[in-house]
Amino acid sequence: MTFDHPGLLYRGDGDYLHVTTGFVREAVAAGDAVLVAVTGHRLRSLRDALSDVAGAVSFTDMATAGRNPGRIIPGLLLAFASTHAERRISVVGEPIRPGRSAVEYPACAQHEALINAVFAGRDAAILCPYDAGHLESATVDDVWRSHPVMIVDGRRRDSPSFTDPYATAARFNLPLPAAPSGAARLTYAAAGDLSRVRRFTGRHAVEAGLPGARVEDLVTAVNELAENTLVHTAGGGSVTVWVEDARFVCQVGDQGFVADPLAGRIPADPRVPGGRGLLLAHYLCDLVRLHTQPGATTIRLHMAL
Amino acid sequence: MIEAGMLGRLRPGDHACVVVDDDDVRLRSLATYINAGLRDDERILYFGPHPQRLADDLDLHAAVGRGQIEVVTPEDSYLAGGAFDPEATMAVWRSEAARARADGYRGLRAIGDMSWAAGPVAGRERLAWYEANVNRVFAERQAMAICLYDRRLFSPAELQRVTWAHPAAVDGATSPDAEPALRFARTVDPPGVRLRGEADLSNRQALRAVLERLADDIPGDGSPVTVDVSGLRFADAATVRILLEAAVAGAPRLRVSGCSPGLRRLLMFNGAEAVCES
Repeated sequence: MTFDHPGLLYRGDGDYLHVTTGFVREAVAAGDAVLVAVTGHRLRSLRDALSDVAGAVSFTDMATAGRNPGRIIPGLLLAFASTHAERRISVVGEPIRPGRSAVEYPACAQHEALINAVFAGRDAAILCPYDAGHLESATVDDVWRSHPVMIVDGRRRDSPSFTDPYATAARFNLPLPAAPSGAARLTYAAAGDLSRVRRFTGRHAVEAGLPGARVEDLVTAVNELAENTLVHTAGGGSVTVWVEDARFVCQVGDQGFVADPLAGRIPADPRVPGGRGLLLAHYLCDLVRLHTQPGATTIRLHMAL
Repeated sequence: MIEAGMLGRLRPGDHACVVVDDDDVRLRSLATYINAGLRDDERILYFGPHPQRLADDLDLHAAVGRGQIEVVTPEDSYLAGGAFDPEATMAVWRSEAARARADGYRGLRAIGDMSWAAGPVAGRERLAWYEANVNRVFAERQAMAICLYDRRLFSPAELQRVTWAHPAAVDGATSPDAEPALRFARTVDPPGVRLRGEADLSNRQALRAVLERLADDIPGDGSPVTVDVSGLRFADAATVRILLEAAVAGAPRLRVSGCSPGLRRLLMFNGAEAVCES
C-alpha cells in the first residue's frame, strides 16, 4: 500500500500529453481505477489521446468538480476511491492552473498539501500537472513543497523541499483581508437567533442577485457554521456579508478554534452526529476560506454571482 | 413584550418554552395565554406554585368556579408520586385532554411552571427527556402547553437543554410577530406526522423524539407511516440525519414525503436521496 503523489512541471502540450498519457496507460495496464480530472481544452486533448483506453478511464471537468478546491478531496478523490474500494486508484488531477485568483490560491495550495495527509498509506497515485511556463515562481515553489516527487523534463526525482503536509497547509492559514467597512453584519448568541441569521443571509444574497437555489445552499451552509459556534464554543458569533469581485461573500466569525487541519475534507459517517458543518460548506459553496487560531476563527463562504 | 406576541396565538399541538426574567413578565405572559384559552373555550390547567395567588392576581375565580380553569400545585401534579415521573406526566396530559373534551371544551390548554425542577427533586435529571418526548403527546393536537422557566432559577446550560427540547421558545427578545419555529401535527390519512416551520438546533431534540418513536406511537397493522415535510421552510443537516435515521429504523414502514429541492440536496449529501418520495 503506497501513495504516489508526483507533481509534473510541464512545458508545452507535448510534454504534458507525453507524461499524463504515459501515466494513464500504465495505470490502465496495471488494472487501476483511473480518473482524469483536468480542465477545458486539456480535458478534450486527453480524451482524444486516450480514446483507445477510454472505456477504462473516467473523465471529469475539474472546473466543475474542483470549482471549490476544498471539495476535491471529499467530493472527488475520496468519492472515486470509495466507488472503487477494491482497486488501486490512479488520478490525473490539476487543481491549480493559471487563472486561479488570489483569494482562491491559498485554498488550492492547502488542498495540495493535505492530499498527502489524507492519502498517506492508501494504495493510490495522484499526478498533478502544473504549467511551468505560466505559473508564478512562488506557486512553483509551493508545488515542490507539497509533492514528495517531481517530474521535470520527463524525469522523476525526489523533491528536496517537500515538507510535512500539515506544516505546508499551516503556511496558508493566514488572516483574511479585512471585510469592507460598510459590510452588513449580524451577531448571534443563541439557537433562537438562527432563523434571523438565515433571513439576514438570504435577504442580502437575493439582493445581490444570487439565484434562488444557490441562496438556499448558502443559507444552509451559514446555518451549519453558526450552529457549530453555538455547539462548540462558549460564546456567540457574527455573520458579515458583502459583494466582492462578482462573488457574494458571507463570513462567519466566532471564538472557536478548528484544531483539525482536515476538518471539512473527510466525508463523515451520516449516522454520527456533528463534524460536518465545514464539509457541507465545501459541498454547497464555490469557495471556502478559513483562518483559525485559538480563540478566533473566521470562515468565509464565497458564491459566484 | 413576550406577553403581546406568540403566546396569544398558540394552537392545539404547540408546546412552547417560555423563559421569563421576572414575576411581572411571568404574570402578564400567563394572562395573555389564559385569556386566549377563555376566549377559545378551552379547559385551562395550571400546574405550578401558588395557585391561589394566580387566581387572585388574574381574577380567575369565576372561571375556576365553573371548572374551566383548574390550578394545581406541583406537589399534587408533577410530583404526586413523590418524584418526577415523565411517563406518568405524559399520560396525565393525554387523559386530561380527553377529559376536557368530555366536559365539552374544545381542547386542553396546559401551563407547567417548572420552577420545582430547580430544586433537589428526584427524577429532575429526566426533565430534558420529558420535554422532548411530551411532544409526542401534543403532536396529537388535543392539547397545547407552555412551560415556564424562570431564568433566575436555572443555569444557562440547563435552560439551553430544555429550550432545545421544545419546538418553540419565547423570551423577552422574541419578536411580537414570531410564530412557533416548528409545529408537529399527527395525521390520520395517511397515518403519520406533518412538520411545519423551521427545523434547526433550537428544536432538534423535540424533532428527534417525535420521529424516533413515530412508528411505535402509531399502532397499526404495519401499514405505512408518513412524515410529511412539505411544510418545512428550513431543515438543517441534522434534521436530514434524523429523518434518515427514522427512515432506516422504521423501514419499510416509515416514509418521507414532500421534500423540497434543498432537502433533496442535503439527502444527496448524505448519500440517501432515495429516502424521500416526491
